[in-house]
Amino acid sequence: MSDTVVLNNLHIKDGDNTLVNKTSLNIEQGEIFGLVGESGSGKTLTAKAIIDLLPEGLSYTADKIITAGKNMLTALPEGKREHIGKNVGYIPQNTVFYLHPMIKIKNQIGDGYIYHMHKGKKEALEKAEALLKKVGFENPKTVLNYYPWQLSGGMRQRCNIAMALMNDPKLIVADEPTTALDSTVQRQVMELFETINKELKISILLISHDLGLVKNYSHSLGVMYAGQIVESGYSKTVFDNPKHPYTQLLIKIIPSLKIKKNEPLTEIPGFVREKGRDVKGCLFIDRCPKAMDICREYVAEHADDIQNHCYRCNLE
Amino acid sequence: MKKNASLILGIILVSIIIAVWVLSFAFMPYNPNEMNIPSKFLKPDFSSEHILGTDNFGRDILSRIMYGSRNVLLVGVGSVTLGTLIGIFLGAVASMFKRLGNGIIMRVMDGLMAFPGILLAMMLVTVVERGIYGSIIAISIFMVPVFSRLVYSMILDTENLLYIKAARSYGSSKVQIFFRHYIPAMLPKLITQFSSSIGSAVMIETSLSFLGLGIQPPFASWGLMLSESRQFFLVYPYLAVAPGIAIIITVLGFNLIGDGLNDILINRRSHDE
Amino acid sequence: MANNVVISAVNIRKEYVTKKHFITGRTKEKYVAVKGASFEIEEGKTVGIVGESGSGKSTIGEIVGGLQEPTHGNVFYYGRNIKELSEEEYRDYRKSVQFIFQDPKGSMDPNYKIDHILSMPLLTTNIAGNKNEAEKIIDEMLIRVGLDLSIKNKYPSEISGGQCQRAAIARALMVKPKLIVCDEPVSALDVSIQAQILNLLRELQRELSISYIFISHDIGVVNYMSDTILVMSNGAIVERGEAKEVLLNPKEKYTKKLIESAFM
Repeated sequence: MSDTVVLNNLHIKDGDNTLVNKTSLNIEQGEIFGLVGESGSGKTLTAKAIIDLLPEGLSYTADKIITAGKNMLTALPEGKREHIGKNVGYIPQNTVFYLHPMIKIKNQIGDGYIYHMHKGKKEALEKAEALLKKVGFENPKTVLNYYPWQLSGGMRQRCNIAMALMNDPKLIVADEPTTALDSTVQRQVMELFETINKELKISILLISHDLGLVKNYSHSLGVMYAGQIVESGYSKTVFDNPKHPYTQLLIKIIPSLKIKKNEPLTEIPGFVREKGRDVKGCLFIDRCPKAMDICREYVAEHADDIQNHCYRCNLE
Repeated sequence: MKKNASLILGIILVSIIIAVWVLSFAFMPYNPNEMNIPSKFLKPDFSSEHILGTDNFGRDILSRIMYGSRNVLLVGVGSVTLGTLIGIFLGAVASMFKRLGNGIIMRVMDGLMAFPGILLAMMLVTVVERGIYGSIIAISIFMVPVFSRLVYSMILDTENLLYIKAARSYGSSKVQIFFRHYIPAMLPKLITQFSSSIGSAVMIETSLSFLGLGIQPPFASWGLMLSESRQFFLVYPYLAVAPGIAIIITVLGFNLIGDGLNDILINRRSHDE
Repeated sequence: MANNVVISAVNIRKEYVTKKHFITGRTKEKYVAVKGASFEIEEGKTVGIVGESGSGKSTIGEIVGGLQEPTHGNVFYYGRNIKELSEEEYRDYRKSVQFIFQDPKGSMDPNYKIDHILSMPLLTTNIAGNKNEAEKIIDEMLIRVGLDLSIKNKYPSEISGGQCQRAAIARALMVKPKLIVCDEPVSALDVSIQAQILNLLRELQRELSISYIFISHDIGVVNYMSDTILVMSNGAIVERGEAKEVLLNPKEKYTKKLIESAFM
């Protein structure tokens, strides 16, 4: 199996309320997969289900979850935890709080490494220094001695990435890694992901609400809306030929120099629905410019395996 | 949501005391100070006229317990309220003049906090006066440092919040901002501290009365009753039981409420993240 | 005939003292956030300020709006130095300059519902005498910014970031300001919501002739919203001009870098 992640038919519920529905995705080895959607689309939950980090209180089912070679549905809890600890690097949203503010970088960056890989502190520091250099710090020794609050947002994010790399993971899950960063720093961070992916051949699951960001840095992508993947495929294919109206609108929204200042920006009016996600019809119907009556009852699923382009829509 | 056992138990206990307090105004079986020497040292007997018995002067113990609840609650709640108000004022002033505030006011507070409560109260009472109002003043002074430090640090925390900046931007005066925004932000912690402090205040009051520095005889006070029961302890141990249990229920009750509220506060915090 | 100039900033400089002598209080070290900035804002126009974090753009916004005082330099409101205004005139100036912040939920007190939050500026500035008068104005404003009136009974934590920012815009409009300082108003929102907010701001500007200072690190967004752009780096304005000009013919390397990052 050369795929890093295989997810089939994921269904996540909070009590009676469906949050994520019928979601499937594949991440090939060495691929960057972008999972795109608005807040509330379920992309973070999907990623957490893949790496066994769903918060308590949520229940989930799936036909298949294979993460970095291990079947997550049949494994025991301790086995899962160990496997994820050793093979997955996770960079969550709100990374401002990810690093302990009262502990120097050198005293926390090696925690996962020491625990999961059973190594000593000295080895951990050596590896940390090498990785900090790799993520772009010119003086890794100085950075190790800093407290997190002495670093800027972009620098902290690079520390998080270094920390995620400590265990030589097969998969990195980065949840909105560039939110709250300046656009110039965003670019640096994305190029770092690109470098890591090329040189170390690590698969990356990149979660973002910004299709423009994902477009330039991912090989494949999936567009999520209200808990379902509505379109997925190789990035180039999806961009050259977007089939789902939501994807089409998202593409239109990407800023470019050609924006005409006197025209209003393309909007997607309304907002994502939180409840009632397990209806048979299309969930985008309230906001879709091309909605038809049949969309209320039924949504056709198109899967083109040759081009690897799938989408859920009644339009051709 | 896990049921908060502390809070529920605390509320039950404090309700008992409050019920006793309320009843003391209408249903005291006897005048608590009325001596009745022929009936002295009657043992507690639920079927007799003196349910909890009588003391060495023939005074009905149940009535004395009920009367005592008035003092305890007056001093307990009164002193903490006074201490809180002064503490809020000092904390607010200290936060407004940072160098003066941190340097002088807070250091004085630190100094006061270095004294064990009962010691401080004893010292103050000798200066002020004995009796119920002296106790209230002495204990409230003891309470001031805790509240002023709490308010000071909460104000410093809240100052940097964005919505305070927003409030300034549409022209709210400092006073308006304080009452509209700072106070609601501080209330949860203040209320929690308030409850816990009542427990301490009651403890100190009963200690003062025990030592004869609080409420003076012949008036009934639980601490005094405990103190008076000492000389008869070997022969009539029941004299110590009623006041002892009353004290325990009150202090424990308020402390449990304080703990319970604190738990809710902490859980609410992490829920917001 | 040029429009009236609402705000004019002349040589604004802001320093923060980072180290003081222990006893004498004399300044030993200081940090300069803004190094001598001057610009003007006309009625109904938008001045965009773009730069990375730490460039001083937010500080300038706050100084112009009266939330901070400049260490040196002056701010003029309709030609009059704000330091020389009478108490009443000063209150009028502060009312005329309102703010929208980057974190919409953070800019609202979580202990109050939306209708109460929106009523606060009205009651503070005595535009409305009581809750009933305030309610009418609030309803009108909520509809204007595209919110459902049911939002009045919700707390900021119960509504989405986009809805909250609309409410913040409504709040800023309550007191009929001449100028709104928008400090990164869409940076914390999903891209699909950003468009909604920006369109709303533009509409309101056309309708009400409001001026904006539009602050952001994203030169693409700043370009769309602004008539003129100031590019800031390390506290100084390094380039300025008409928005189109700056974007098509950037002169500074820094400006070019900003443009590259925005339009990847």
